[in-house]
Amino acid sequence: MSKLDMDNILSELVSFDGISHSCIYQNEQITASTFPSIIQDKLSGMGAFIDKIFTSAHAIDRNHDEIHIELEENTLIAYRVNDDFLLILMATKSINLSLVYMTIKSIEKSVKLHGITPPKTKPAQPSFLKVSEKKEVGDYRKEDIPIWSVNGESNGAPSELVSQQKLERSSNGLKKLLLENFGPVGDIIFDEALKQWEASHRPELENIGKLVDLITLEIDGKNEKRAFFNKATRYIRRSISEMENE
Amino acid sequence: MEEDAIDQIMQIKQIKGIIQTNTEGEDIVSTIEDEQLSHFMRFLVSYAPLFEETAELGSIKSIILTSNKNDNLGVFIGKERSLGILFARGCSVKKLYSQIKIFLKKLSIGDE
Repeated sequence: MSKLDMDNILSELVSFDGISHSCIYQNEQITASTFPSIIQDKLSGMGAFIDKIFTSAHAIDRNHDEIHIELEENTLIAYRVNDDFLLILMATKSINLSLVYMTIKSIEKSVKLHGITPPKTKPAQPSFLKVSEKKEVGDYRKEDIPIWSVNGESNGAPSELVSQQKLERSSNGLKKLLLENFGPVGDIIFDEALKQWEASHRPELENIGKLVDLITLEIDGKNEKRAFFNKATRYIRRSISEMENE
Repeated sequence: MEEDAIDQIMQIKQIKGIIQTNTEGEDIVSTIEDEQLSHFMRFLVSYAPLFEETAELGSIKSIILTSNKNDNLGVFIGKERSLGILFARGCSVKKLYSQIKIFLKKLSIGDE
């Protein structure tokens, strides 16, 4: 099977509103990047810094695999993917974390199955905007905050769905997807996963990715797991995007 | 006033422990019994300036680590004081910010 291309992974990530740049750190070097050339030489140091934090956490038996480093204007978010490489993103503070999380989980699964290949061309893309350009941050923020406000409430616009409705819509969609794929058994799978999700996480849209994980765990068969996970990931991303536009 | 803020943070349901340190990295207040975890949080606070020097992206306001298996943890870095927080696994980063933002101001950490 063909391997995933690092450049494709990064292209997908920076296509999201709120993510300006991304890079992959593996084996003590940056193997792909969309960061401006002006900070390319600093990325390896940043990767090493983040890698050391994860390694230190693991050394005391803490399995943290996601880090948010809050800067003045932006947040640097890094994910440790399959204990193999780091995906580092420069994002606005109002980034839609569910979208990012689902994409990372999807990449994680795909990499496990297919592996990744380094980019064929030079990674640096100097034409991207500089990280410090405030205009870019403001452009995203206005749109993102009302939907993903931290207290889970809408900004008062009559057409906006409240967070509970959004959550119900997404979880109902997942249930429907399960029923379509597994018949009545899907109902049982969903109820079991939902019970675990509610026990271990706050039942909020921000955590819906964890519900997908739990549902996938309940499904038998590697191919079935993969097929459902991919469908669910696509569904959640589409659903969230649609709700954002409502 | 600081003590009140600390007490109020500890009242938040999702918060499982805190550690407040001074510029020398010494504990002022700590409710975290796990010594390794306390060391790790102090390490994050002291490591932040090194990252700032390396990255040259400006100052770091906070570092938060999340996991599906362990409780999440974060350090909020101020000029005089820093605050480490251990919070529940299911609590999102944005939720945490919204809950403690007002108290961070009282502790002179983060936005003035």
